[in-house]
Amino acid sequence: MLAETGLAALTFAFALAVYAVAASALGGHKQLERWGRSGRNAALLTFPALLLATAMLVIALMTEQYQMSYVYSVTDPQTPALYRFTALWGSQRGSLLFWSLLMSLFAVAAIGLNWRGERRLMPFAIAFMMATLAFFLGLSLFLENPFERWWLLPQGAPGAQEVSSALIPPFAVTPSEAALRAGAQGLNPLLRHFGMVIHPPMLYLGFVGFTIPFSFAMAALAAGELSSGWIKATRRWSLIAWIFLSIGLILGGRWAYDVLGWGGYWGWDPVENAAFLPWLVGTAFIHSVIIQEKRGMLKLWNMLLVIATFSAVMFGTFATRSGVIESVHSFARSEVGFPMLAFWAVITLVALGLLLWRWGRGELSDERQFANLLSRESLFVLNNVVFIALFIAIFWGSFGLPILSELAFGKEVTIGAETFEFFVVPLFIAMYVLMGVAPLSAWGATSLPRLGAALRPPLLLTVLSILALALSGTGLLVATVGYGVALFAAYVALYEIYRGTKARRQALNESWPRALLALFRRNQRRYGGYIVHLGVTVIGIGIIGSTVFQTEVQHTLQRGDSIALRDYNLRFDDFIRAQAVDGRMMNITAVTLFRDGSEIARMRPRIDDYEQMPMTIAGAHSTLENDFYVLLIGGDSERATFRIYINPLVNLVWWGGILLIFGTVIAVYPKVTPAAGQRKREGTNG
Amino acid sequence: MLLPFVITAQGNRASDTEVIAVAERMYCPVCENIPLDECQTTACLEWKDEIAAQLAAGRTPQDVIDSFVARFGDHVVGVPQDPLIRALTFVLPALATLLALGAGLLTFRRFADSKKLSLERETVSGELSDASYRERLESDVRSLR
Amino acid sequence: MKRDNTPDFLQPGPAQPKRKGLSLGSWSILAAVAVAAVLLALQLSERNRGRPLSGPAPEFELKLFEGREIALADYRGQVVLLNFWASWCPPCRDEALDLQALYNDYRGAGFTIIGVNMLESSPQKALDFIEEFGVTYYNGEDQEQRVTNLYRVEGPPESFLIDQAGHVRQFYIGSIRYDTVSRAIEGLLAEQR
Repeated sequence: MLAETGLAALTFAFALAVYAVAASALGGHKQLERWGRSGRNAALLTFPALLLATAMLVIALMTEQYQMSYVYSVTDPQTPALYRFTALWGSQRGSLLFWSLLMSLFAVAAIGLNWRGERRLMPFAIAFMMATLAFFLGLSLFLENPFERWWLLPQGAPGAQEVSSALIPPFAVTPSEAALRAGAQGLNPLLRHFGMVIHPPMLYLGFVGFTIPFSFAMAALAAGELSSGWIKATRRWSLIAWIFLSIGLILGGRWAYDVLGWGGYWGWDPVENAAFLPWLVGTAFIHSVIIQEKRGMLKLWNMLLVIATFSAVMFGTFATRSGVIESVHSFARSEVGFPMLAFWAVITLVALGLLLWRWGRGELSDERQFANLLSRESLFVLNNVVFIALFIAIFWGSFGLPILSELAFGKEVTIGAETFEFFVVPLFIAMYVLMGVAPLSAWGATSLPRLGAALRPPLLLTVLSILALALSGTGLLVATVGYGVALFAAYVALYEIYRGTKARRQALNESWPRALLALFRRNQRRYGGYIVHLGVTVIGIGIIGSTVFQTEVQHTLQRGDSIALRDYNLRFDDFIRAQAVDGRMMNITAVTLFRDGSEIARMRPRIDDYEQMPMTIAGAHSTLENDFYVLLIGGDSERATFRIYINPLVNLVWWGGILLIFGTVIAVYPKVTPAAGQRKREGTNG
Repeated sequence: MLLPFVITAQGNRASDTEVIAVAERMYCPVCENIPLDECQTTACLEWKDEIAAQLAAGRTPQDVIDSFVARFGDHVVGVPQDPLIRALTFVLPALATLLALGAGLLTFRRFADSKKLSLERETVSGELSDASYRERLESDVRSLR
Repeated sequence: MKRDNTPDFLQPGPAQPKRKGLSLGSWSILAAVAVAAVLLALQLSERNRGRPLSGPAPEFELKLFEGREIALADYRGQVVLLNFWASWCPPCRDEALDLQALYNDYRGAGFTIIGVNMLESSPQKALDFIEEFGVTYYNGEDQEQRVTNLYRVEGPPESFLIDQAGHVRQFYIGSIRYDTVSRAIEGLLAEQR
């Protein structure tokens, strides 16, 4: 019943999506209102259909329908209720359906918000959105069907005894409930962590979110509407997609830090990089579009950036799910590889083709000229260059070079953290410098003396900070430079907020708090953006501290013994074996942490034996100053081997993320001032 | 119960910390992209034991790494050793960055007809009324003279 | 709707001469993307290639511990058991005597074993293993994991039984048993007669 309904709903949604592509494309191209409308309606209908399909799968998961192969593979009778629900995105089939659901939801929202305002663009935009949806639904329907069920074929039939299929094979018999329950596989234990619960949805929201600006950009190219209509319509979408992607990346790091047991949060693994690449071009994009909105320039850049963002999303999805690169993060190898590669290639070629065609006709030229190198427009171009350079370097190291090396030379290579850091460090330093200078430059001509004058207070603060750091013996030059540029960017943001508030006070005689609040309300995007920059600085400082100044030791202790590390002492107290509710065997060590003689924490680093997969759970004492992070490597009741990390400032990475979210919320929050209300009534979308 | 890890043998052996310092620069030969110091498979544990023995025998960390690279190939280290591939690793992104910078500079130089266009195709950002649009138009015309 | 509101007659003529289709530069960019897609497809299919469980056994060269190099092609006309092993692998220890026995019993009839030592932490450990079990058939260390990759071996022990024409006929994962393999060898030897 559940499976049949789900399958029917999925099929219906696929048919709707395919129809919507055709109808909208026709309606847009020939400017036929009726076809455009019909395509729109089909697109809107995909959402209830997919909601139904997903609901069926979720109900099956929650009510333990082990005959469904997906339920069988990601849950077992001991799985707690929360992980039953989140198993929806725990494995390939469910996650593809979940992706499609989100795609459909976003399409509906985009249509709802923009149908009236961007009538010329909408049919084309719908066509592109539905094409993407149709592709993913096609994958779900034909290759990775979440509604397949287990069947027993009678004895003597050719082929396997147990078969998983969506349609009922002839003479098939339902397997016994007991056998299904006994064999259910359950979710990979590494995936039972709050980080893994939210990390995939956040990433998918980010990936799917960027489909909307991409679709509108393609619509602009198709329709020839190349000023900033498509940007205005999708400005908030881009920011929201960006913040979800950022959260997804940070949560992924947090999960790795907590659960994978290697004292770090970013390994420059190809799958991690696959999610980082769209973030990089996406960040460049959300900045660069400001220029097109305000000055009508950088049209070609913005098109390239949004195409690159979407292309990177699709490429990353392909790379992680196809097995073309191997990593601990990869999904199990499946047949979706070639179709995904084909989709990526086709969509990239179509997008680039449209762009190059329009550009060749001169329809993407700038509406103003560049005044000089220090103007805000020019600095934003430099910003684009920095992010593109990061993108190229990281793409080359994760995919380009390893694949080329294997194909052309037959040699396997590993591009590790040290290689990535070689490129990334100078480029991020440049990024922070730009983050500081660009907000202070003006539109159009900016003279060096003027810019210098504006920069003086933040620069002064930066120099003082660097001196303070150097005097306190922070040591390494690179770290000090890193801290310096990060602080510089923060000081500029704070300085701008201070200047704006002061100006309001002087002009309108408001109190400090009132002026501050009004400042943010009047210019949400700008000042929300400054908060985001502050967040990026905090994260940067956290990263520098926890990578450059990390201490790592491994030592075996007898029970009762301690190890001394800096002004800390760690004592191995006890070893306990216990069995958890879900059957895993926990090997727990109790350790006590002392600092300067007094006890500050008790931790229980442990190793869980779950079937064949041992899982290391660290014990950590977290403060703003550092994390004292202890991993159990092995041992028994007499002695144990611990790996200890001291990660200075690592918690700033997570707190910086909170600032990032806060700033973005300010930037995207719908305006409630009367002026905005007026604009809304006139039909502008912003 | 002794969980799978390398037991500290008696006698001459490098400390765990020293082994990690070498192992974290290397990668597991079986599972790609997993650093050796994290990998807990039997093969990787054997390797770490060997690293410990070699360090204790007085070899430098670089020598130890080189000996593994010689036997298993470049993919057990994080930086390609083969000169051609190493060159490709570093030169290409540098070149591409220069190209991107070049594209940025090219963007500056596209002046053609942009002045003319700014007169007729001024993008109205939505906050301007007719009067201020006219004003901007007139100031643009003035600036051309 | 806020976009370009200027009336038609104020619009300028086309800023640049309209190009029919795309320029050469544009086509080369698109071609580059297409080439990249083809390369990725090649890589993907290479990755997806599984173990050679049947058909021609991939050719390889192996440098033996004793110094000289052999190639699989050298043994065309004989039945070959290709065995992947490592000294730290318990099932490899279990099967070592069985393998040596098979070699002793059938080498006269046109059978040989090639042992490929993989993932060994030091060559000395492999030599110690060989000495401990009295192994006399060919053994070599897999340089740069070439043979291991060629045969898509995931972990020792794995064995491939290759017939006289160089085709893979049997695959064994885990330690082999004398009886199972000897039956297979005799079957292959009988085919040729």
